[in-house]
Amino acid sequence: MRRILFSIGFLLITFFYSSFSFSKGTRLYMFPAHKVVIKKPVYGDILVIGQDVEVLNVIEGSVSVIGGSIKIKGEVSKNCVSIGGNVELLNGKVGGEIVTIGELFGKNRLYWFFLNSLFWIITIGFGLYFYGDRLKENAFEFADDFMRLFFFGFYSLIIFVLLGLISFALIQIGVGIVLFFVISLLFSIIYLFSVLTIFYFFGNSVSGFLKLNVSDAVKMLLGLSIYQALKFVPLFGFLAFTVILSASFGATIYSKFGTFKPWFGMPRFWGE
Amino acid sequence: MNKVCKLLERYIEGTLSEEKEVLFENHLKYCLNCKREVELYRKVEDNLNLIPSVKVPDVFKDLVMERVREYRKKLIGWYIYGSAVTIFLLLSFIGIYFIGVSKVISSFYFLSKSLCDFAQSFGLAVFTISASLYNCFGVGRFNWLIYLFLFSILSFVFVRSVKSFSKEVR
Repeated sequence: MRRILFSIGFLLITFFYSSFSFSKGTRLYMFPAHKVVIKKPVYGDILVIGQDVEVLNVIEGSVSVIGGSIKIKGEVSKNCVSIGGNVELLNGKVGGEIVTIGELFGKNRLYWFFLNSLFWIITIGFGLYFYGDRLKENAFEFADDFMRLFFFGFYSLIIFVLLGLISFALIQIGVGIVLFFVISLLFSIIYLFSVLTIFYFFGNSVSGFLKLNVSDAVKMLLGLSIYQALKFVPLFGFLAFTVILSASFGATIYSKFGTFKPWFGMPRFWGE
Repeated sequence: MNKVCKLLERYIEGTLSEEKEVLFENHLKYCLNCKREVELYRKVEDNLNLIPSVKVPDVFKDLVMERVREYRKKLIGWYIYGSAVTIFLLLSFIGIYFIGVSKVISSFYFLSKSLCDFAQSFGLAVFTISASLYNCFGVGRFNWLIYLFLFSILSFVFVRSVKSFSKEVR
């Protein structure tokens, strides 16, 4: 445990060091509270996550936004990229190209909801059919030692996000493409397994509470409906989802997808 | 090697007639080759008899059958997926037949063109955002070194922590 705490401290130090040592050029805004307004000229790129941007002055670089839209009243010398939003030109000028991706889905939440549900229903069928026993094992493990697994899962989620960001930046030298692909593949496999575990846990506990004797597939669908309902609860839903996903993530890594085999050939000393 | 030597195999099997058995036993007194063979065979037989017999657990059959059932279940699953794909392909072929090949090809052309445009803009977006991230430390020649160093340290720490976490006694 001490080692893990040390490594978390080390990670935080490196993370904050990198965020304080930004040069005057590139500016990074992660989930700012208010709309980002650029009033002074900027010599470098601007990257905003989770908020809109308004450009009133000259920017010698590119402007990119993930999960927000861009209003340009000034001048941007390079590209303008908006993912999940749109780019508005109000007497402004863009030297490079304007790219907008996923504008349709960004606005319409119902599309997302239906696509998401369909995806999860197919995944439930697949997962339950081929890895049903492992999912159950993982769900029991998840319920067994929640707090420890939460801390471990949160830690590994942070590491995955950092690794993803670094490998994404490394796309500039080519090697990042492979690294990013590997990281995102690993992450998505663990994520899928963890969410299926959450479904089983939800369905199992609810059916146990109501004393219903239903099959595993119905339990999973019950879990899916609870999961989708959580999205409509403001703040608490997001918090609960983050906590539960972290714990489930930890359980998946800890139990190695419910097999309880050791990672990297290390022996297990408990509960064998 | 004479004719009697050829009786060796049948002697070991014990299928010789009494007359020939006596003949072969007399032959063994002076044929060293045959004698060695027979002795070797007896030794192997004795050693084989020394191995203790293993008792198969009662649930062994059930375990094997369960594995077989699991395998079959998986196989049936893949068959279902395969047949779904085949039905989808067949339906699409029938659809193409009714709509007309030229219309389908032209619509595919437009679809692929728009997909290409999308891929192009997606690539541009990825490149722009990654360039912004890459220049976080300022436009330097050794940014890649810093990033590779950070990546390797992070992955090392993560692997170590997964190891130590799964090693702890609970």
